[in-house]
Amino acid sequence: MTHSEVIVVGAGPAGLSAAINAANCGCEVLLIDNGNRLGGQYWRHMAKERDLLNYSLHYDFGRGVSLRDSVLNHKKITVKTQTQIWSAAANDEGVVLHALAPGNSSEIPREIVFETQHLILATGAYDRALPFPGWDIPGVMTPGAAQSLLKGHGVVAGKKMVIAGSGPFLLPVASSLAEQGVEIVGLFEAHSPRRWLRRVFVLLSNLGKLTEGIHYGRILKRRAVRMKFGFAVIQAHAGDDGILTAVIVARIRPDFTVVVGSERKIECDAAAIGWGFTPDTSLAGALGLPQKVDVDGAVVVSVDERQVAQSNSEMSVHAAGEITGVGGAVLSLHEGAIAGLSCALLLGKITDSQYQNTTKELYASRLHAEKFARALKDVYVIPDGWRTWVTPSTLICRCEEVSCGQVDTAVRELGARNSRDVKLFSRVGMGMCQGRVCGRNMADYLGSDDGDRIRNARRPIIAPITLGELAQDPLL
Amino acid sequence: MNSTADAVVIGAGIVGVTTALALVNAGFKVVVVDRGNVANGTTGAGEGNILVSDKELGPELDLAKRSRDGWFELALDVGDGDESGGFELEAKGGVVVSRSEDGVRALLNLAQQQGNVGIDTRIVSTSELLELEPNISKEIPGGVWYPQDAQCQPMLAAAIIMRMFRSRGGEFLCDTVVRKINTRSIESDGCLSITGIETDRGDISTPLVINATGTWAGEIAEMAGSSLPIAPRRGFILVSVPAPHLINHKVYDADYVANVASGAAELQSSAVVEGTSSGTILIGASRERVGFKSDLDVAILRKLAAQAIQLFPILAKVQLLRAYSGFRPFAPDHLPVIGEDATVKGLWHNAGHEGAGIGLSPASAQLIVEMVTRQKTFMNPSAFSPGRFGKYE
Repeated sequence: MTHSEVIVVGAGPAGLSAAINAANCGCEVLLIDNGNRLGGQYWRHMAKERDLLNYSLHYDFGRGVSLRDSVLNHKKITVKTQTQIWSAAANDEGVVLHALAPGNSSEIPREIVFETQHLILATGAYDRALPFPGWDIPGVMTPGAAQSLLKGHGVVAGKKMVIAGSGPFLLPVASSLAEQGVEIVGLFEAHSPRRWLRRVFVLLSNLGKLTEGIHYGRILKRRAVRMKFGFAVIQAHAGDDGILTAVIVARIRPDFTVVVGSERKIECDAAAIGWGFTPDTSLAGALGLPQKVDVDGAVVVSVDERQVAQSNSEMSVHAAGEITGVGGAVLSLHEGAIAGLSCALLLGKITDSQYQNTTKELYASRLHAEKFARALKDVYVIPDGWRTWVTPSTLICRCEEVSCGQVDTAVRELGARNSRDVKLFSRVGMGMCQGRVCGRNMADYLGSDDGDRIRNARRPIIAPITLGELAQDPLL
Repeated sequence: MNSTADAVVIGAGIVGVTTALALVNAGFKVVVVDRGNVANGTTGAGEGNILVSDKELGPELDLAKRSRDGWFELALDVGDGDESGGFELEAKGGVVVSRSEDGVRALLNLAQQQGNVGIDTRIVSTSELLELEPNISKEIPGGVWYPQDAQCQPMLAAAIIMRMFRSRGGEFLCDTVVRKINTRSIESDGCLSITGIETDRGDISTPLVINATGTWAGEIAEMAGSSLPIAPRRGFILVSVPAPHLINHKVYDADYVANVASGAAELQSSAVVEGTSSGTILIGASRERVGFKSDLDVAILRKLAAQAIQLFPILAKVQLLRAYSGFRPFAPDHLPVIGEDATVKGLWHNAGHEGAGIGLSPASAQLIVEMVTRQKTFMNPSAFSPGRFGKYE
């Protein structure tokens, strides 16, 4: 068992910031991430040799590089990449994490057990897909998938692409794909930009965000890509080979119901469609941390002003970044910094007054970023009108191939009245994704209450592990 | 809202719903009450075993034999002509193996006794074993094939049986908590007699209450002024990613039978491995008495994985997708409690089936109905009598 003073899980903006801040105060930090390189999804990048491409694919890669390098060069920080936590438990004395990591000599991953009294969770978020007829056709993906193919491997997902859904994330995805020569045959934001009118003040007080938006706008203009507002992809069609050939786009109302007669077909070989983000609370749930439902309907970890989710005199678990509520990289950096400093305070590395002096500005910046995050959630809300896009044969759970019609049967005939019942009677959420994709949609489909959403987001096995890996004794 | 019923069944697990349906079929006006919904307790955590192979000679085997046939009758009754009942009922057969020569000898001895009472047992050599299960370890000297062993998807089975119960006029109150069980005393013999139940959604007057609350049956018995020594015996199940056709039968180590029969509180585990119609592979079985503690225990998962790989080396490469625990209703002598309470007239127990509740439920329901209606029972139920424990403190 490896013991560390502080363990940070997740090396995206929040995790990097937490690790640096805790280490700068003198804490010995172990930073764990399942990816090959530091940066998380936000700064996902290729090896240094391809830095030219890395820089061209990111709006603010420089900031990511400098954070990454300070973490890598920090004497107090040990980094463990390609390390996937699959099981975790917390008790009054501390936290035990079971992870799979590349073995020392053998090629098969080995289990390593980590132990700490101070854990900082920064496990991020993944993008949300909504079901519609054809969403399971190869070629339909999320913007995050298209982006990670590009940023992580330098591969474009298609030649002629439609990008659709809702939220500011569509802009960087569309512009980086356009920059790489992809023909963007449609860029559709479901909501009207007028929704920002009532929030102009928030927008103007976040000039950085505005500048970033203008940056993407310029690229798209140069590539002759125009964003259309108030439209959504509501169907996808496949050719004889089963691969995507076209999508149907329709005008939708603010509640996401379709304006009948507005449908039109757009031929494409790939479509990236995403509806904001879902926090990855698998690890938090396995640790039994307090959770709540955020204003956007996502299950998040509840934290106090110091980013503490759970603590006593012996131990603490902090959470920072998207898992405490989706808010973007800037908010994540602030939350991570506060979590790192709070750990240092609990460990006695800094005094109360040092903590207060250092965090005074951070608290203000966090509040500012939270206001912007709140505005984003209000503007890009996902109402449940998408339920009118599906038909009884549309799959709601792709892993187990359960259709909306089968869910309706479970509810109407078998008396299912929450996510768990539907799961037991129809297998929704029992497959490979363990409800990560379908769970939130299922809850919306059923009109679930908060308790059901939180219970349904629990999955004690955080990531798949082979039985052979599990059967071995862990490395010491 | 207050109402009356001929019988109230408490608990909508597999035992509750099969009993409720059998009572409705016998002409009773029945209400089922559950604090949650169908299959929210142990039924929802089970593998759906319908086994004759793991029972030693005695009353439980007699019950299991009848119950196994009862399942196929039930499937035809509720399944709309679908032989699987719509709940994946399948006589996929069990294969019991042992890794030691001694174990094989003990196994063959048990099989012979089971064969004498009409169980279909087929002794298989190493090569025949490989025909049944091509991926099984070649080091296993042999085993016994039980073609009658079956499996179903228990949650779906309970839900479909409940649907039939309701379509025949039965009433189901889900999310309804029993607050009190009312009795009056019978002066002649000092016993109590059931008059009804009180719930958070109203009272029901009834002369008959069936306690089908499985692991929680002791609480209901106490509410009525009686007692039952039922305790939770925790088990973990590992579920793999879909890996169809790797494993054809329910295959388990003969140690399993010994583990089931043990009353020890500490952890026991033996490999039970099976493929399901959804493609996933289920791996059990651990047994321990630790109360209602449901946290994942990595040490147990590790042991179960290692034992399963000993039987099927190919499993080493298969991914574990999820794991969960459930609480078997454990009675000190491992026999279910089926019959009328010794001190409270009108209170009937149908509980304590430990890990065999899915398999034993149709015959247990049949026994209850036969006893309640004073018919001749298909077997002597005295071994299951609630009175056998005496007054339990």
